[in-house]
Amino acid sequence: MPTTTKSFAAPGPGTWELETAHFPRPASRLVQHATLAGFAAGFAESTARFGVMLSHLQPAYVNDFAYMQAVPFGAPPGAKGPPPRAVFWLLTRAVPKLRARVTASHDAFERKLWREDLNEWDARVKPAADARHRQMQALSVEKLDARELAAHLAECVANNAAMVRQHHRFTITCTLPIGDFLAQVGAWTGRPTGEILAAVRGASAISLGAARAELQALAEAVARDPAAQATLDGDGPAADTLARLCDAGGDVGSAARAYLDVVRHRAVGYDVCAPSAGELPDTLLGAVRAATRGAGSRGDTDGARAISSLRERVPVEHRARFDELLAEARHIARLRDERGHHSEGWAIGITRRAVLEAGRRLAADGQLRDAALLLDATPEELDRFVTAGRVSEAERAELEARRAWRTTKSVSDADVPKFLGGEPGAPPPVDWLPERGRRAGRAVEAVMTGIFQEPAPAGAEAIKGLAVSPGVYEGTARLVDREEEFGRIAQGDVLVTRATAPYFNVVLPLLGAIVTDRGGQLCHAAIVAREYGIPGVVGTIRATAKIRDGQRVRVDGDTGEVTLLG
Amino acid sequence: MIPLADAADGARYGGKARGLALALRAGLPVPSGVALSPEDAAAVATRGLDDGEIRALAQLGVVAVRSSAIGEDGAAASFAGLHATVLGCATPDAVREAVRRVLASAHTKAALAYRAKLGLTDPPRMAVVVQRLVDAEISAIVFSRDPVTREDHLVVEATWGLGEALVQGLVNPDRFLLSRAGAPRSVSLGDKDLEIVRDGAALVEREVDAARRGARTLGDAALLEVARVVPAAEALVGGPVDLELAWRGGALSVLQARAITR
Repeated sequence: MPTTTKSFAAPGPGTWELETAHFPRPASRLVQHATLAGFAAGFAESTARFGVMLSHLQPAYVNDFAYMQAVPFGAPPGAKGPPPRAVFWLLTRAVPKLRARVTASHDAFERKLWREDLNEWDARVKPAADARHRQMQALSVEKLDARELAAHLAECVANNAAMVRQHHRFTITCTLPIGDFLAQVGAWTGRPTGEILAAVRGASAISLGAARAELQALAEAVARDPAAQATLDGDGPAADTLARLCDAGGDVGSAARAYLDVVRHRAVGYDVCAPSAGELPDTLLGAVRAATRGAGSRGDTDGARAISSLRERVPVEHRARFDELLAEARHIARLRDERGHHSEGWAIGITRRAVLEAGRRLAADGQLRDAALLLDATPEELDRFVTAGRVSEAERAELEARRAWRTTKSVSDADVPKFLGGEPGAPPPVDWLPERGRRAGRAVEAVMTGIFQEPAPAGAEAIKGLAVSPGVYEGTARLVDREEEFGRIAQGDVLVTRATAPYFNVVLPLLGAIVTDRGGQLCHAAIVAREYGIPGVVGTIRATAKIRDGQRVRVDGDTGEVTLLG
Repeated sequence: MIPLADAADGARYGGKARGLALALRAGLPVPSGVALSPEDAAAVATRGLDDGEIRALAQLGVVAVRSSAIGEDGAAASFAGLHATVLGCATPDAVREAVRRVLASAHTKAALAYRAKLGLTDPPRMAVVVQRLVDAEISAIVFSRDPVTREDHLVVEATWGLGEALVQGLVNPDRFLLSRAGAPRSVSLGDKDLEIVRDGAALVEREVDAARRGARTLGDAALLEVARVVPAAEALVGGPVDLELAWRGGALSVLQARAITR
């Protein structure tokens, strides 16, 4: 354990909450820079467009941990909680900019504004971002001279900020219809958030989902080509198999190249320190194999089942409305993942490539012990190191210290406060708002309490273990203890067991993820999860006691959390 | 049957024998032993050990009989735990039975399913390593590159007793991240509530007393020792290495050294 103790002070007036959903560890300086530059601005644009009374979440970093402050629209800086009801009532009815906000929220529902946004995303924003990223990754960074590499890095840094902003410009777009569905269906049925969300999401592997179309095209091309099928099923390192698919003639070669082109420089995590998909050939190959086997089709069946059982619980008179709200939520659902994948998810992977190239050069010159150390530099340091071609002793030590801190500290450490500046007061009750603003208020409330603050839906229970194989997967838990029970495992299930035994290899190709009570990062279960490229969490101690057979779970192989859904 | 140090021909004695033979020659503390080619092993399985073999094994005392598959090194796959290891054989008959089990383990349903996944179509060929059993008080697995983040530090997991408890994932082990020089970057103590130990010719799984469950297995000095072994082992396999280590009476043994698959 790092012996350094650091003090955590509130980064400004008001209350700040530790962000645990996306950054379970301290963030790199590069990602901090992008978040500080783009997050709040994009978020505020999104809330303004939809007339949401929350202006934005304001990020700040304390000892490299992300803290967020909810900033209500029109509130004084650092305000803790709303003014008294009478004052609030008066403000929202008398102050023109607040009234305009309420009107905007009403109009957004009337116009189904999210549909316009999704059209804009599909027609303009996403294609432009993809084109930009393709252009950036087409550059051969290894051929650039120091000045050119520094310029490219500066472009990456600016692009990261722009992409974080782009992502959050669509935050309310994709969350409002889902929050609206959650709030209304929750009121009708009283069901937990996880169960209601299952109807929206269906079930499928979320990881690498960005390239679903390209992956599907590749799977179909392989299915039509026995030689390619043999290559795919063949022996040898995953990277070689992928290279052989790319070299194949006809549809398979072009589909494989197209797929790798979109995923190669895609960040698998949220930080520049996480490997890009192209650095995980086994995971990619696993995805291709799963796609050719039609894995994931089960997910749709699960989604359909979740919808019909939820619909049964809705009073008959609300069912038509239920169908309408569900249609909107499902229509927009893909944007939730897409906005990240096509924005900073790609931008950060391209940045990583450039930083590692710069790091390799400095390491070759004896300036750094290893190339990856440079991932912990700030944008200014990057520019200076690359341009000057040298790193001082003190700077090297600083990079080492940052890396040690980043790789060993976690949000679950006892010395990392969940709140700074006190705990936040409750937001104003939704019924203080004018009638026309309440629907948006309820939707935002449902999302904020249900999705945003926790990696898991509200009420869901998380089990913590050791993350041993990256990726996020949702599916049906199958508690299996002995070989004789293997017959119960269906394609896409999550295996939950005390410890895996070698005979589990028989069922591994079927699994969507693995969770065990026991074991470390180097035990069989961990090794095979990595070999098969499926998310794995081991050493949870109590997974088999807490998870029911048949229950839906989310397995996060990056944070080590297993969440019970519904 | 030949001395382990002479079994560096991987095409004849398999990958595990090769790794251990090279490690022995490089001066790493590998327990002494012998290697059997697939033909030797088949002969032992059918007719038993001859007098010369019995004498050679008697030198070793209680032994561990391990699989050493041939021609699968290039498959970049771990065969994690698929091929049998039989620990604690004290008599010639026990060794013969163990060799039979090791040979049979190449043909189990699980092993065949795994081979199919890898696209290995040739019949499996299995050589065997017989080594002095180290009655480990502490066992560890070491990866010289982080298998998840691929960062350039050593990941060490350790527990009480024989390493089977680690490999099979039966305990939540102590976990150490070390710089390549051996300085601990993080130490997280596990809950080692059971250990596997030898009781005569049998291996038993027994409860660990409350005081030792949460106690630290490897001190800083042992971790430094781990870091010193790593470069030599990496030189042998030509890259990042996956080691199985054991300590008895404070003395370190290297039980396995192979290239990292995942």
